[in-house]
Amino acid sequence: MSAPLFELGAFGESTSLIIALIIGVAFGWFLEQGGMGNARKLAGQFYLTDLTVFKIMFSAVITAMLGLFWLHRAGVLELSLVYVPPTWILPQVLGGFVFGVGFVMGGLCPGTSCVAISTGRKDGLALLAGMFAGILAFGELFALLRRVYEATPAGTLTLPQLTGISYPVVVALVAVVGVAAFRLAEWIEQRGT
Amino acid sequence: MSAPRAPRPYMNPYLAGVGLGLVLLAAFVVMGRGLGASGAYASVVAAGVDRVAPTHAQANGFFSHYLAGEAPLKDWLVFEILGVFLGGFLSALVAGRLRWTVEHGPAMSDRGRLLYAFGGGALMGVGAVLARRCTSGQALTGGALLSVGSWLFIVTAFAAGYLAAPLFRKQWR
Amino acid sequence: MTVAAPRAGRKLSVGGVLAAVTVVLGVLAPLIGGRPWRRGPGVSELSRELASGRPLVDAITLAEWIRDRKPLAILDVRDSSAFVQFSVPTARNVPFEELRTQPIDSSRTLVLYDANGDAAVRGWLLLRRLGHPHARILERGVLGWIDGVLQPVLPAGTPDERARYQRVAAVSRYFGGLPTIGPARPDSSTAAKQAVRLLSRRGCY
Repeated sequence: MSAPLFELGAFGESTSLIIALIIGVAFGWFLEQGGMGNARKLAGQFYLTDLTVFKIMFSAVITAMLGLFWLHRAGVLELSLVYVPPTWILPQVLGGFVFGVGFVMGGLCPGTSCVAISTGRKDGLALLAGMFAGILAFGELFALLRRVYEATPAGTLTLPQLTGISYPVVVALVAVVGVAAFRLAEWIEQRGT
Repeated sequence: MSAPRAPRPYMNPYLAGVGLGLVLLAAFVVMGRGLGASGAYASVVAAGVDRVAPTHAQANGFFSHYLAGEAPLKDWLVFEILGVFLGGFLSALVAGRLRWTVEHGPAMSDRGRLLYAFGGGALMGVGAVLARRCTSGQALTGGALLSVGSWLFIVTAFAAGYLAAPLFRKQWR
Repeated sequence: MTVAAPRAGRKLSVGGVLAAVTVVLGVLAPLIGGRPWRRGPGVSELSRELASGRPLVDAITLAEWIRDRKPLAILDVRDSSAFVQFSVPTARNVPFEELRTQPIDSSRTLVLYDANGDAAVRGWLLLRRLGHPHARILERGVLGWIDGVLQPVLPAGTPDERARYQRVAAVSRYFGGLPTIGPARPDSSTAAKQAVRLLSRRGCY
């Protein structure tokens, strides 16, 4: 295996920060290229007029998912050294819900708000300020919120582990369902015009 | 006299998505981790609180987590987010999409939109911290890794978005 | 002169190509089969383990293990010049970059050490995440061995202290060391603590 490079000692912390910057630039580039820095375009997702958010996000997930599977299969990447975000059932469902309301209300998400700001959109600034306020409030009220925050930990849990369906089959299902979903999205968008 | 350059059309969303996916994949291959955004903001908030009230920050169970380690701002996500700012700027510069404005529909006022943006941001700040990450972190990173919690997050976030959408429609009218 | 009309045919759209490639790559996955995704302990679990101190082993205990021929594999993760100058008896030199090729052997206990930097801790993390079940870190690395086994200085006032001195002296002499009686030296094991702090930020949300 030769990857993940950092985990196998290919370079140190300082280099990793430069890499973070480069990866961030590429991230921001593609987000803006897709129009994700524009709240009006993003909001279209929730009014079923412009499903770009879904198309971009899900294409990204499927691309990376396939890449991970095949690189691991080829022995190039060692998945056991890749950090998988742990699952916390209640906080993630509750947080997802609150986040979703905020998303449609604000029209941007934490990553895209950066793109909005750097392309001159003042609503991006307002959103970022709101996020700082929200995080600060959460931190200050942490003593009260702690029980919810730390409830229902499930550790590292992936769909194959949960469902008992093997990893390759899950990959195939996600890919096929994804393409079908994209067809559906195109149909929905055309219906609206 | 030359006309102002018309903004170029956006990239095909599937291509942009594949591009993003490859960036995400690069992060996995090079760093062994995915992307994120809200974590960077939490670091900044924690650093700020630490500056203003250090004993309070260290004693707080939430902020102290982000203050562990060398310096909260010398953090991978913070550098990544700086890159996102830069990348977005460069892309818009090249495509002629830089505009100092507030995005909203014709019937909405600037101030109203800004208030909504602030409120939405506050909710997202709380939601993202609760869920440990946001769309970049959970949806993209956790999604590609097939993490159950991440998929739960995406599904509930989108569901909530559709449910709450009628409330905020007037921004885009 | 008429120009031949362009051949009518289905135009390949970007979306169409992407969709086809996606489906092919997806469906091939179960057909060709994957490589098992061994999900070892996660970073947070490992940092808790490190914080508890359980993976650490002190030099005297390690010395006794070697003397009593416990099934061990002692890995020196420094580079070869340091290894040649001095190494723990029965240790093998496996620089950090080669650790990944270490085969998993659940019958032996792996003990890693370095010059008392963070390389041994990182190596331990790597091995544990790759699925090695028993891996330990020599407390304070080479320094720990030299101070603890080759030149131990221990008090021998109380009966407990005397008993401990006897135990340490016996294993020290086995390895050609020079135990002496004296006031206890202050101990500082910062590498593991620092690693835990850095770790708990890793992959952070």
